[in-house]
Amino acid sequence: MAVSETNISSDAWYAFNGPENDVVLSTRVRFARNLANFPFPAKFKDDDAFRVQTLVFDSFSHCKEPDKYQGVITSELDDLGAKILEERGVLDSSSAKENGRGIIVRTDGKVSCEINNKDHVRLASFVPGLDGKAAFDQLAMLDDELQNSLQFAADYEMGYLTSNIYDCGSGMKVSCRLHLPSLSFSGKILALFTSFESKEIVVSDCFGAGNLPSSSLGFYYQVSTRTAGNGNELDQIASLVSAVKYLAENERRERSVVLRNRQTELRNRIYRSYSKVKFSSLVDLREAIEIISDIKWGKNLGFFSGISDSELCALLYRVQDGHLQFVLKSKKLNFPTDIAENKVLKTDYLRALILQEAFESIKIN
Amino acid sequence: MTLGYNFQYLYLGRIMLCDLCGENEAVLYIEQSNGNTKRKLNLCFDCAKIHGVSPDSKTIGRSLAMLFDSILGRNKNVKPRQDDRLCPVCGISVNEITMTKTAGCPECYSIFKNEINDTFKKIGVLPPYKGTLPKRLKNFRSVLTDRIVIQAKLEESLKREDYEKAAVYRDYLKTLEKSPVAGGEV
Repeated sequence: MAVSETNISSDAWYAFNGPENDVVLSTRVRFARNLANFPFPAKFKDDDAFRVQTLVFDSFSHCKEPDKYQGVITSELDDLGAKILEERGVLDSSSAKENGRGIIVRTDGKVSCEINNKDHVRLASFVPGLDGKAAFDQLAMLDDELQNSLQFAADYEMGYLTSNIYDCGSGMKVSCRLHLPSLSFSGKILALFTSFESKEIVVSDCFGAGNLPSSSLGFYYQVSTRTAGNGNELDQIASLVSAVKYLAENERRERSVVLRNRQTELRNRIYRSYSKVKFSSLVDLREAIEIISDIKWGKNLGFFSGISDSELCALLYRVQDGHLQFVLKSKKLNFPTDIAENKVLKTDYLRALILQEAFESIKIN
Repeated sequence: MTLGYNFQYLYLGRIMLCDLCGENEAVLYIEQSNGNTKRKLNLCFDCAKIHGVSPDSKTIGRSLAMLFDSILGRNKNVKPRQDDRLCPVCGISVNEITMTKTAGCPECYSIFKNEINDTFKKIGVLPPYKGTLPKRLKNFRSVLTDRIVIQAKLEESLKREDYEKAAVYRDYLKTLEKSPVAGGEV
């Protein structure tokens, strides 16, 4: 079985390297926008939802390169399609079946637009690593183009008007995904996060809660701006980027501290993860995220070489259930006969194979 | 604030009209004292009966509490309680906006400007906002407001079976809805 063929995301944005990639996986910028002459989605009446949907789809078709965008009415998406889009952070699938919902994705996957989810239009852009300006610029260009045919609601004093008052102002939310294993391991992370509360910065987990106290699964965290009304867009980006840089510097410093004070524990944990995946046949998602995290940590501590941060970032998407089920559906793969009929075990089996193939070139230093 | 109520029942010698119906002579005088505030209420027999108020009822506390609520509700005509106001455009209550920090439509922001500014303060936002604004901001408000006003006129003329006028309003609505941009250039 050629597992390498299972990489359905080899050209996705997260497969590329970005600034500060050892700690910062990705930067996302989101604009919340609303058409001036309609109530917000929660208060839609009659056919408001469909009219907004039509106007937004129409506006994209008037963009400079309309062929670069693919639009779907989300209620017509199959479950797997919706799941994959959700795993990529593009779609909130919880309400995707509601009338009038839609999703538009640029063919390179970097820019997307959700229609009628809380706001009429939610534009989002992703870039690998820490690069708030790049993520903002590629989104602002699209926003400008849409404004040629759509009038967004705004007020001179309050800025863009949005369904959530937290978003009112620039309508923008900037967030980064960070990998902070050393700070989590030493427990110093809690004090750092607490110090952010007064700085309008919110921290949450990416994949659920972790096993250590107040840690997240795989030590992956999402750090975002809380409000959108203070200063201008540049100020808001700067406040997040500076917080993220601060965390990244602290994480790098903490690496050498834990390496000095707790090296045996670290070696045990990281090499154990590496050997576990080497000899596993079935790996579930939670375990996979922890393993990928430990390998990344080991690479950054200097235990391993032969794998890049972008490959490890892409794996976080490739091992998700929806992505694996898509591979199972579209490729002919051979499975041991005893699990051939079991979808869950087949998914776990494929996940193990993908991890083993990705880690094949790893060298222990 | 204390939760207990102190009630006094007094028979009044001079004629006083019932606070509820305003017609009959009041025979029950009730005073609710609640910390620093005191509320007084005068009731006639009929109204007292309707509201289940009698001096020896065991449920007196509850029925009086309900009674005071309903009286306060009536007083609203004089001094409206802010929380019950609704946005005339989308129907959301100002209470819901401040509780959930969610607005129902763009107009909420101007209709409940004070409350929204209070909410901004609570979440640490200090307007005026200094970032970019839409390319065209002029007059956009009127489009939404127009739509609501014309929709109301349309419904009114349908009610009066004035179909000719209704047709005019309907056509106007249609043209408004076709222009997502203020000024109608698409």
